[in-house]
Amino acid sequence: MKSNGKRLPFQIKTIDLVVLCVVFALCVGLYIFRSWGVQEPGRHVEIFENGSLVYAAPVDEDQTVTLEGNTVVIFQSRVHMSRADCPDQVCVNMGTISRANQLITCLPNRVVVKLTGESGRDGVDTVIR
Amino acid sequence: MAVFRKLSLHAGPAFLACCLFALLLYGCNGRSRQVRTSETFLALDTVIEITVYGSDEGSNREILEGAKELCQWYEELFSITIETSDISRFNAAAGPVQVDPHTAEVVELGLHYSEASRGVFDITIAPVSSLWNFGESGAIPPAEEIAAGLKLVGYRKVIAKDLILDKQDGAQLDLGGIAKGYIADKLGYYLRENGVENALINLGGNILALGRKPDNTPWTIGLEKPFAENGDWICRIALSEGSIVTSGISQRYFLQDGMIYHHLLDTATGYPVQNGLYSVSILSKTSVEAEALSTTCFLLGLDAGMELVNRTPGVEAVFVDSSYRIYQSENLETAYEIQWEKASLSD
Repeated sequence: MKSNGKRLPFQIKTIDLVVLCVVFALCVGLYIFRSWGVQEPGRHVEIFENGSLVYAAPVDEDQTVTLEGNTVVIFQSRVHMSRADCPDQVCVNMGTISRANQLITCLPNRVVVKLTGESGRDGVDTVIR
Repeated sequence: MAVFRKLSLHAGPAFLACCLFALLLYGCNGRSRQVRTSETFLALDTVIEITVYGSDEGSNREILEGAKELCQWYEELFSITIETSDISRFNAAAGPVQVDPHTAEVVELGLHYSEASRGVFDITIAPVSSLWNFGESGAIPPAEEIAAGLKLVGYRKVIAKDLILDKQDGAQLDLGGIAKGYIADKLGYYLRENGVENALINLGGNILALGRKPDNTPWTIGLEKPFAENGDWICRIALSEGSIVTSGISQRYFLQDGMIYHHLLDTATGYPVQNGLYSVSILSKTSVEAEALSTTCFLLGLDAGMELVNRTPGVEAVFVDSSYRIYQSENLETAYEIQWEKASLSD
């Protein structure tokens, strides 16, 4: 039977398919690239003293930050509090942090050390102990 | 150019199709374009982290600033160390004290959970808890002081009625086991009122999730291994809309003669409970329930605590003992998606 009105108003040629595939691949590529960029930005260390930001740098920059009552050591993308002049030493005993959204806090000296960044696929949005 | 001449015949429909497709992809990704703003600050004697997603950084900041002020406002009402707070005024007074409606509400909730646990959890523990100082420099208070303090403990000695708090026999309040949960819930309401649909509140271990993340994935909560020095976690919990609160001994404690003296006090003896548990995490709809139950279950111990969880609807739990053995409530893994970190567990 002749399918009169059902014929496409144009014919699809190989070249059209090629163009479609290329643009399709570009779209998908761009989408993946963008999602990737959102999920895995570099982690930063932020140190707050009395509520104000006193240090901010990528976690892969080795650094020893000396504050009035505390010393924060950033070494090989890991962060720990090496000194605190407060009596409880909770922050020193807290050990090392290395993943996004982990925190070290020294309540008596009002110091917060934070690893910022999106949680990513294997990370967490927040931590409880 | 033969290629372009051939192409131009059909490029129109093909181009249109591609544009539509690109738009579709952008649309999928567009929801996650919401701006994430996070704020970390110290209040309520703990560290507070609030993360919100909203249309722009400016309004997010404004909302977070309001949340911060709300925390400080509640602190001025509930704090046991601020002399002018409702609670301090009540503790210092010999008779009835008029308080803010929010103070009355949180005290009533506290009395409710004290009653429900038959005094295992007790918001009138203040005369004993104030004797203990849980830092590295901490020491065991004299036995006679603990005994004297214990005589004043008993939730039935506090009566809350019409914004008036009254007392018998010098009773005092310590809202440490409930106030953060109450405030977390109130922060949740505040954020909702301000149009925030996706937010994560962490009030020093009291977590409340509003909705999910804008890409529709749940929030991931890392439950850290108690006393771990490298931030290992026991498990990761997928949380959308709800609360998780942990009561554990690893945050405020001191060591003496090989014993861990921590802040979770047995209301019958006045000393820290020694029941082989490191932590109890409770998952529930509201943070106030999760916090009251996490303290209660810790004090009850593994068997009675787990039994309480299993007969309370909508509540699940993870218990961790001192050998890092994990115990979970009956329906935990049907209600929540949990990824166990096998490496951190000992068998």
